[in-house]
Amino acid sequence: MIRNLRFRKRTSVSISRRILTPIIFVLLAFVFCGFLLAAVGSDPFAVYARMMKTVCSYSGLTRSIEAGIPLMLTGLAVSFGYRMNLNNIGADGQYALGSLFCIGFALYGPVMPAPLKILCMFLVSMLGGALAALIAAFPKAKWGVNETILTMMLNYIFLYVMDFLMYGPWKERNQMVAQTRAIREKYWLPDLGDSGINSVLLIVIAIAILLYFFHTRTTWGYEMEVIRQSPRAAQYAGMSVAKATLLVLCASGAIAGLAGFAQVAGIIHRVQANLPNGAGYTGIVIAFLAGLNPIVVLLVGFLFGALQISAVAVQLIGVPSQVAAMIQGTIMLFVVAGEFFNRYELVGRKK
Amino acid sequence: MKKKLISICLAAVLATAVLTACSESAGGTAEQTAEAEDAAKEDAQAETPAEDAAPEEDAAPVEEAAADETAAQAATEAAAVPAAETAAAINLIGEDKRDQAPAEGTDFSSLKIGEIESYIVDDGGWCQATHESIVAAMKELGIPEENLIVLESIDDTDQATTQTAAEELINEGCTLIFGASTGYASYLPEIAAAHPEVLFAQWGNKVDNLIGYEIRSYEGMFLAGYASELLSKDTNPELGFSASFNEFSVRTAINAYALGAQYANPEATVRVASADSWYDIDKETQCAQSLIDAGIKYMGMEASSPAIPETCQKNGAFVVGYHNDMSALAPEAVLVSHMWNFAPIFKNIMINAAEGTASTSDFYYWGGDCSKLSDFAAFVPEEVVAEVTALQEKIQSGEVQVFAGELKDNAGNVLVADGEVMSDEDIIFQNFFVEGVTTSWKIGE
Repeated sequence: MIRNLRFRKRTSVSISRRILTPIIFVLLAFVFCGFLLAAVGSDPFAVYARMMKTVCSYSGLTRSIEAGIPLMLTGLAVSFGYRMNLNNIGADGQYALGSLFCIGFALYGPVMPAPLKILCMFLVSMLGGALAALIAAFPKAKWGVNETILTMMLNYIFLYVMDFLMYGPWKERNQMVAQTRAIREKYWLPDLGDSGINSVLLIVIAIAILLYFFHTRTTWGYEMEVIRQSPRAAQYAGMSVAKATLLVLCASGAIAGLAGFAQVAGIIHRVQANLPNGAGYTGIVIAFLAGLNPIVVLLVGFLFGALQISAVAVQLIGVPSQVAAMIQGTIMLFVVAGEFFNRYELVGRKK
Repeated sequence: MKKKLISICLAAVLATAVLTACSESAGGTAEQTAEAEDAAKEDAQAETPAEDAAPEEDAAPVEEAAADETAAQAATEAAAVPAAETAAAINLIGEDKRDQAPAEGTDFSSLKIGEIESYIVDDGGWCQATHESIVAAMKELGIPEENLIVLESIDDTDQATTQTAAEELINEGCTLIFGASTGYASYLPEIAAAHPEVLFAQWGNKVDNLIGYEIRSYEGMFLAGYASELLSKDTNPELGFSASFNEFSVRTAINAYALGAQYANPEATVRVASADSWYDIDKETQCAQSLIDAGIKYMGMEASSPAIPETCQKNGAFVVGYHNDMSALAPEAVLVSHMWNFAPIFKNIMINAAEGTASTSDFYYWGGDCSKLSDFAAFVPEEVVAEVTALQEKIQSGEVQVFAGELKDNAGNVLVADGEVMSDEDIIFQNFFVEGVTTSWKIGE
């Protein structure tokens, strides 16, 4: 029986399948974790109810968004690169350099009116992210050097630069925490009314919508799609693959660098050692799960933020912190595994 | 087109290099002058002595004006902010309160305590030391164990996670919450301000809205250095030190260790090897190994993993344990361990919290049994143990001061003049290495 089964690549995936598969696999993950929880002596239903209670409370929602914003941006960055088959594993480092440029400009840059300064912070953080990506993009475009390895290795370099600045010259005076001092309050992006949600969320949403239209409505978006499917065909059609590679990777880096802007201008108003905290890697999973669709990235980013927040609460009902982390990991793993069934289907072998 | 692009790239990379190089010369005057100018121009209070006198809120109205008005004017206004307003912010709790007994009839059973840890409570290091101290203090006061709620592995670099943890503890009814990692100091004040009915106690230097606690760990480190040098001085006056990050508290530990060694033998020196990480088994192993390869037999440590004692044991070298009693890890190598004991401070905080006398301006900076040594290993000669114990008593009585003059840094500058004692602030924020310390680290602040 089993010998007669094999996987076949799907030619097309229906919308309902796209939506249903991840949901089914999240539920499967909860069932699986249920057994794990029962094995360590906790009541799975009570644990899940507690997670929901935290996320569904108002402060839980705002904090999920807060935790989700950098993830959304790194997710957007990775998915943008992947649209042209460029694996940008370096969103962590680009985020780091973007935040360093942003805080450097905010604290040590020239005096200017607040709106202009915020705009400049926005631009320099993009510049920082783009520069970080450029170091990998240039060899890739010129000599075809593998961008996966380059971007990944560069992460270490930028995170060490960050450590150096945070523990060294840029450290806040007379504080033990490895962080810079906070930027002036007039440079903070305001909250949306009394909601407790920062207006930087609007910027993130705007970027996602822009990217969506870029992919579906512009010639450049179309060129990217052609290059993704066949670089050679694109070359024959007169498109410059090298130029596109350079620009797309840099743009991807710029979006990741904006996560630094979101933190500095919107959320924590300063930079600390290890600020990205793996957001660049989580961004890869998010981009993948969202099927590279910028709008869906926002939703998945929010859900990952919620998952992070809810894992805190389950400890309160006696679940060990390791098991809480395991629930997080299991859900991620199951959803990624579920993606497989979006791409392949199980069919009987023809006799 | 292509050439233009390349030249732009090159210019950008160069600009980054210059930027980094500029910040690297931090100690130098150029950066400080630039900072001072910047401060005068915009912040009106940043890196000048006025900064300490004027907290951000006080300077806020001044700052708005500063953008338009001249720098000189702004600077004067900032200096004019009365210093008295901030001086009241810290209420240093004296060590004489150590054995404060709770008032008759104080009800502790309603005191619900929350604990936020950056890692697991049985990590064999920092978190375990904090957790055991909380449990010990509760036990002494007769607070039932179920009144303690622990949240582990709360990332102290993540605002959303930290604040969620604090709010969840408040929702569970906690009225006293301990933040046991330095990073929480950035995120808890906001929560504390929104919940004035809840007390927060935060490890590290004093920040607004949180009770601060710290330990004079240099006293124990001084004893550790003294013990090591007593054993080492006849064969090799040079000691080693395996350190984590180039950071205030670590520098304090290294300096105290060196001063203790020099108390035993004025010729003693300390060579530092650093992992540049708070927890890294591989790098810490390399640190210990490199010191041993350089002929060092006795070393101190300020690191978290069990790698250093184990490497010492493998090579027949000796180490003073850190955080907790490490003798079980490497019984042949650990001479004695320097232990963090927060229990006396926590007990005092809990009493004040229950009696309603605690204030968010309280700051604890205690030594004595807070910075204690474990029992010595059996192989340490008895006369050494006796001498260390005698020195311990001298420190407690105040006869011996660790950071007292004449004290020079390792570049030969006099830090404390003869007959004077270093201020607590300078002890906490140490930006120097004392004479006799060899390290590749530079002071970056």
